[in-house]
Amino acid sequence: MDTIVQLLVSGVMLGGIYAVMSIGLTLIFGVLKIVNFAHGEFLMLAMYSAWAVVTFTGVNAYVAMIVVIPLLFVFGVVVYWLIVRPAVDKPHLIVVFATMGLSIAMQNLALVLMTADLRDIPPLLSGTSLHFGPLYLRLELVIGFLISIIVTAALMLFIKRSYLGKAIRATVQDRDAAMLMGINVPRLFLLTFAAGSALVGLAGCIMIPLYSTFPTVGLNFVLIAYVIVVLGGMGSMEGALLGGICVGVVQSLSGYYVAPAYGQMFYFLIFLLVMVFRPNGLLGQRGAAMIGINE
Amino acid sequence: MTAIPGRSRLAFKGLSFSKAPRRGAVSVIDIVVLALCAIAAVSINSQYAGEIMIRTFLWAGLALAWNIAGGYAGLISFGHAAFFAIGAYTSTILLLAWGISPWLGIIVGALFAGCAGALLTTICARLRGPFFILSTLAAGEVTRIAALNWRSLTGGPEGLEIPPVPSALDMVFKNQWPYLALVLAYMVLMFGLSAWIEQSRYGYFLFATRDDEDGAAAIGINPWAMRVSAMALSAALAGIGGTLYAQYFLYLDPTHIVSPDISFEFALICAIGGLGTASGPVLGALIIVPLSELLRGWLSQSASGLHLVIYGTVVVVVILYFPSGISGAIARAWPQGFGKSFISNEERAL
Repeated sequence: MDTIVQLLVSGVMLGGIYAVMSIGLTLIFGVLKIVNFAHGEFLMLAMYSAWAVVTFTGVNAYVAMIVVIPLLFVFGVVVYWLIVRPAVDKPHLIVVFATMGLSIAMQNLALVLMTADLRDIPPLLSGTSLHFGPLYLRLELVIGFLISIIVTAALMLFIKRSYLGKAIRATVQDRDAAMLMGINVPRLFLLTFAAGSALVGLAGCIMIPLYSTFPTVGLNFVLIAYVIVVLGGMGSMEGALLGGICVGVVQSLSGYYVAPAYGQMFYFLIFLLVMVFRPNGLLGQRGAAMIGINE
Repeated sequence: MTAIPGRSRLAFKGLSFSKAPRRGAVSVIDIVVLALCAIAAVSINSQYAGEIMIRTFLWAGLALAWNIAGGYAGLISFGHAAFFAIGAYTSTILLLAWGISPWLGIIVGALFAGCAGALLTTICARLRGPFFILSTLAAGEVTRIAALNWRSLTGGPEGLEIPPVPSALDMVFKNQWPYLALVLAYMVLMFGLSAWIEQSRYGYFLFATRDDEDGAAAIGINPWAMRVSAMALSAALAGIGGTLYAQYFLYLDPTHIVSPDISFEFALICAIGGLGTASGPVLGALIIVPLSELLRGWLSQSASGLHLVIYGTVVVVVILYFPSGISGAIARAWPQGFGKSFISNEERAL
């Protein structure tokens, strides 16, 4: 019994971290209607930046956010100007292939500059775990989970309550009508893309104490992020949180009861099943998967 | 017996010729390029050049196979490595376990790969755009994990090895010539098939389904059948390429042959060469594969991976500024050639 509770709790916490990694992707998809195939490499950049800040200044990874989040925001702006903006009104293929090319270039630039070595940072407080009755949890996992929940909640509140959030929701619903109502849609696209990228920066800082980073680290995580985003419903933030927790729990349970390698297989199969029976995801917009999105 | 006039015109229009790459016609450029390939293949004198050429022709054939689904039917697949691997594993397992010749295994592998393609498209029948792409990526990953872990069948992470005993019956040869001839034949066959599809009734059905599914359904085309058949055909042809790969390298490494990188490579060759044309994937492969092999050779001492940085950047620039690829750019530069490729068609619609 204790084992199951332990697995469930650590699965949920892992899921929260996965969710924050996926929210940027789902936000960008919701507003711009594009899938950023370089999302994993954004995460790789964030993790390397966090690693560099921690290693060269000695601060802990959560303080490194002050540097990494603005860095990724600026990087998002640059990528938007150079690659996404020229392609956003074209057939979705163009943006798919352009971001794919960016992903290859970034991944290999990391290989050239940083070599294939694994980079990690020393554990916080010499790797203490927290005890809650029979539960043992890694401190980094708990902090990461708490930050994820707070950020996700704050973001949802922001989208629901603020004027900018209202503009974002209007653009998600109907881009043309939003433009006619005087919303500066191109500006909103830029802002959303950069904010999505900044969220990846946050995710990188939460993840660097838990995982080591290497040039192809993005591919592993981005596949999980795609599963989460589709599971929750593309463009839905609540969905990303729910999807993240589902994947975290599945991974944690299957990693213990079945072999970890098959755990991966599990969530890809879940992904395909969701695509067959509920292609809009658990909380997605109706009909989103059936129309060719950016026609 | 007299042929029904209307029907025979559509079914047996035959290939026409044009100067520049054009949908439904074999262009002068294609013939020159293919002839040059054959001449180059006959006149090579070094092992290294032969290796690069084999890889180039094989990849051109595979990209042409990908293009049938991705270009003609608009079914962008990032999971084609799965079909490629199904072909490779099927013929290899048949050979190792039952001693069945790969000449037969190549057909069985193609059938299996084709069934897998049909199954995937049936499962994802309702999905469009990014959703379809992500599903193919997931299907590729499922195949990769299966190949890595189903030890009794695939040999697990150690992979499978074909004993290097030369025998024409087992499609294992001592020197490069037969392989070079095989992959060249594969490429030319794929090209011929693609050029035929472009001008056939079936090809027009595919284009119609791709460009306007509701419109196609309204004039009596079954979009579902078009999507499934195009993906099945494309997957089966990729499976054939898989067997050729297995017989040439004589070793199947699951982390390499089922990796998403391979799927991306097929797609990107088509994107750079020009999607939805028969010339595009050939031109794309002839430029990209040797170039990246040579760059890898030159740059590997100073910085491994640098060639892929260049490659990625080239992809971004080409796709943003020449969305109809190299063949589209040639068609536009060449008067009288009405280059119609996938993206330029859609661009006009916008």
